[in-house]
Amino acid sequence: MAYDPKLLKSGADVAAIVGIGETDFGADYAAARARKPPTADVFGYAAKGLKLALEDAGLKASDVDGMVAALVPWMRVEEVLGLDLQFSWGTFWVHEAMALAIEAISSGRAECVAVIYGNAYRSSGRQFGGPNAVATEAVLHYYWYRPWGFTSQGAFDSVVVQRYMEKYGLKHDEIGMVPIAQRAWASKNPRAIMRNPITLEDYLRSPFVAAPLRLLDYCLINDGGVTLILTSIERAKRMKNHPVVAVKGVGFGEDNSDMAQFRPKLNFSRKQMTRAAQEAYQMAGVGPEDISAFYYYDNFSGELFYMLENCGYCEEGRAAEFIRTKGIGPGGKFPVNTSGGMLSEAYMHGWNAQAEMVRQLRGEAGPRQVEGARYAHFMVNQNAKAGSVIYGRMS
Amino acid sequence: MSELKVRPAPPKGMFDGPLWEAVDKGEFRLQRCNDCGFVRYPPTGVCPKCLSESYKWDLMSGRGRIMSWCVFYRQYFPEIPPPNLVVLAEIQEGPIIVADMPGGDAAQLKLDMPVQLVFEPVKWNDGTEGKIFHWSVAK
Repeated sequence: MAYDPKLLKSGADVAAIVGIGETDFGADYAAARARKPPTADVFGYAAKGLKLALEDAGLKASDVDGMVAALVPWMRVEEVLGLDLQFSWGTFWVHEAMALAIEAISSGRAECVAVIYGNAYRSSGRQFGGPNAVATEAVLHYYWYRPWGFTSQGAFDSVVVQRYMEKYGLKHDEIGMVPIAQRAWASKNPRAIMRNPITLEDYLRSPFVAAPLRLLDYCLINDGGVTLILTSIERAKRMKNHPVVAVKGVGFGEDNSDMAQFRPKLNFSRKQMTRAAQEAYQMAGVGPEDISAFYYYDNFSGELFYMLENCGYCEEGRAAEFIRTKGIGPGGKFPVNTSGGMLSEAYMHGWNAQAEMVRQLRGEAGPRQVEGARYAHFMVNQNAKAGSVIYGRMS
Repeated sequence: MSELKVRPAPPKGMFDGPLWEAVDKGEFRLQRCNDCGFVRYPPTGVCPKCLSESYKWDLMSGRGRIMSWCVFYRQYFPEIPPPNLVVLAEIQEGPIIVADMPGGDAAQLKLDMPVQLVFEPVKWNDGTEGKIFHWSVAK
């Protein structure tokens, strides 16, 4: 179905991100590995993120009149954090949260929206594969294939990467370019959990979990919180703490046909990702050539290859060559996941990437700063859904 | 007489019974829509192409072509020791079927390679016995 870019554009430059707050992922992870009791539950991590974001924005909790809760249980979180709200919603996804925040701010339902993410997956012992893996009817394939041992999202990605290798000739050492570059970024990030640089030899020695994906292709599991504070562009311009970072584009993509048979994934999620990326580009009025830094939901590294193709950064089947020639690590021409991503910084379901995008666009990313960063693009692709957001620095 | 392999029991929802009853007889049957002919999997009450709730359990060829595979080196289930080769293949009737390929060699597999479903008696980890289906390279 066609969509009208003019209508989409009405949502651009409505909302600005004026506050970011993240818990200390590295310290909490180290404490967990040392078997110390967690310092917070999921609400506590949410509270820590919110406090830091309010401080960053120069606002008080009483200024917040709208909330989008991400992962942290909706409703209960507003009670625990003592928020007095006119607008509240629960989701998981970055692009949904941004669309909701834009709706709340453009309609006047709320003036200051806190997007609050909290995660206690590590301390709660959540399982992603095997007999105790997440089993809900929304994602039947997470448990339908138990008799053959085919569970875990890592395995579901591994078959897509294997098909990509067969079809386009991707090699094992080329997959390694992704975790190696992201670790190089993480080595410049004091908040990152995994900071020791890795080499190609380290990568090729890393054990397979579900081949062709190795341990170093898998994201971390850790606890933490991230909050983003959004308000209107006009109000953001009156606040003087930081350069104004606007939400420029939001895109949605779907391909539900035979999802539980993995058909969309085995087609490299081309339909859903292309649609999400194009929507975001059109809403933002920019294209791939305008993007200063790229971010993605890197639960597993292999997805970056077909994602870059689906977003129009390179042609189908050419992603490995694109990554090799451009460079995605520090000093590269196409910076990707500059905080280390979920592979090396923290498993915050893409929310840590949002904070890093804001830092880069403000020019506050320190040793990781991408010179002259103007637009940052984030993509997520899970099951039958893709999402895309683009933020931009207001000139 | 060798002992039966133990495997994690299949989830059994409202529409899944006839699938496993057929498998126990060595047949692979899926729901074919009585109105539009579409074959769906895993079982559901509704045809995703035409919303018809009328269907029959139709005998499938059990023949497919490989779309991809992976090899588990990490052990997730106590009953399934690694390495475990899992193959995804599209059967002639349309659906993509996921099953393991016992004794298969991932290095010998290619996209579009013809495969066929085979059946083996198993003991499910809930104590019941039945059959499981696997992929095998077509003879």
